[in-house]
Amino acid sequence: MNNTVELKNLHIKAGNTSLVYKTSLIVKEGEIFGLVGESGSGKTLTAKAIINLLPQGLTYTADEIITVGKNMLTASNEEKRDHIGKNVGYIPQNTVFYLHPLIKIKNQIGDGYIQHTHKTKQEALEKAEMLLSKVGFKSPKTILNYYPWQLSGGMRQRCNIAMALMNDPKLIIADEPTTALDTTVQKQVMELFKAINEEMKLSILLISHDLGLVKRYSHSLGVMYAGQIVEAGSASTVFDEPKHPYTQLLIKIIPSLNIKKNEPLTEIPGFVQDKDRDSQGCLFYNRCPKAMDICRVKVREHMKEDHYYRCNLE
Amino acid sequence: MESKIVISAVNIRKEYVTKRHFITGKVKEKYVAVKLASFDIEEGKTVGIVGESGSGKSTIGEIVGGLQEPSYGHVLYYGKNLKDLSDEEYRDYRKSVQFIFQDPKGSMDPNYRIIDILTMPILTAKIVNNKKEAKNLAEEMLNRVGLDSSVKNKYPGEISGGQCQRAAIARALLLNPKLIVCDEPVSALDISVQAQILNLLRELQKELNISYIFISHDIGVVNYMSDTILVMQNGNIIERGPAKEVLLHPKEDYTKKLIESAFV
Repeated sequence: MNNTVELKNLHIKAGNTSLVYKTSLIVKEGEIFGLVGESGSGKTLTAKAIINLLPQGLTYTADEIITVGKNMLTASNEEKRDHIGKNVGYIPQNTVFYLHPLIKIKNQIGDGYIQHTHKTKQEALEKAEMLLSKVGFKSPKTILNYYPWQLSGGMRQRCNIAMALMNDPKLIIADEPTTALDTTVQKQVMELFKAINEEMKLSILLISHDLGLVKRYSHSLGVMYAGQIVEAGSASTVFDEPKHPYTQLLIKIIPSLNIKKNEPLTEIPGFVQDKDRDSQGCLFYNRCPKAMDICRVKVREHMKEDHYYRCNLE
Repeated sequence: MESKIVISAVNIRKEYVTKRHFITGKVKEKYVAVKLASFDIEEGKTVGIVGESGSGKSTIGEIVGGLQEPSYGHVLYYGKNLKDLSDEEYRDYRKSVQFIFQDPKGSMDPNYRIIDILTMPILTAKIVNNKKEAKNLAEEMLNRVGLDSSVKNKYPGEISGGQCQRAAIARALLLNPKLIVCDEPVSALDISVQAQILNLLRELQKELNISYIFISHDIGVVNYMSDTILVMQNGNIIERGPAKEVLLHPKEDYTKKLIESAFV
């Protein structure tokens, strides 16, 4: 099987402060890869580096960035734009502001398609109609004539998904696709992603802070903490035998429905550090219940079959 | 001994006027946020309200806390109608019911230091006599909720969301409340901080015998915090009961759907 995304030793800096350090990830063809972490852990930046969308003022270095078969480090800007536009669908974090509020859906949904495939507007509309019915709208024609503000959050999110699918991409990057949605709508949207993934053999990079959601829908996942991936592997291995203390705590910390009410929840004391992210030691050192002296200066990286984690413990 | 009922809501209905006639002012359209709701809150107990956005959860919280008046029905504070309270009793009621909101930074004035934000309400409510006493009390409370004293001279923008939510809890506690309305207190926080805040709220409840109204869309969190759960949909309370009962044997389809779509 080919890999849709290969990323090695990504290092993102704003001036002299490191934001993301030594991050590697591989998204295989046809799988849903979940990237979990708290806010400020660098999930979005990592995803944006893959598709060359980093905000201005940030610099990055990496050993390798291959997005859908093209090396991003050697390609020129034009080549990158063309390649990414055709092959990657991006659903950004804040979907409420993603669609232009004063332009009808039909006038904005086909823009990327026309730009990259040189088709006419009529053809774009036909395709949009087909995709809108695919994402669950019963009368796509009426939806096309609406303004975004006439749609509810879930409907708007489905429009975004249809928009991302316009160019028949190989990879979809969904950045917190359900954060602003109600739980029942969230389930609909996630089932839609799953269906798309199975039907069209698309790879999906799913970014989320919700561990439960990633557990249910992704095939493999990476856990990010303070700008590093601390543990990665197939979803079943990471959830069944978590090795890194942070992952172990994360799994315990969510109040499940069959929790014993008299016991307090496990907590992770302190908060995420935002300085010295490029230190050689373990960044979780300050909050880790199993921290040793050596963790401050050095951390070991383990790679057992597909299971990766960085910790001094065995 | 039977526990006392702090607040009961009796047949509450809340309507908002969305359209009036442009000359006569006659109501042409209205939106019903809460159709009919009645419930009691006992001392030291937690009532959890779940439901999706727009179902009227927050409106109920605000009506019980006196921030809004119900269109019909009334709220009883220790068995007395809010409208019949004397001025003094009403002041006592306002002290006894406090709020914690979703966005901790948005609920604090960015131009004041944390210590000022904490001392202002206790000076206004005349719980202390002078500024010095107020400061001491506020510092004590900051330590109580797990913040070190370096925080007191900072502005809300300078501290993290979790710390800010702790300060908001301290602000609510300073007035010795009987009931705290927690409106989505953890949904803006990171998961690792969420557990800290939930534990703190439960500890305080045990120690000070406070009641909570706990509003959230996350059924897992509501289950952990609450003794009784109300499930709301479109302004109606469609299911209610002890937390365990509602979760293990849900009767309504909507409740089943909510539980199923919570990924735990």
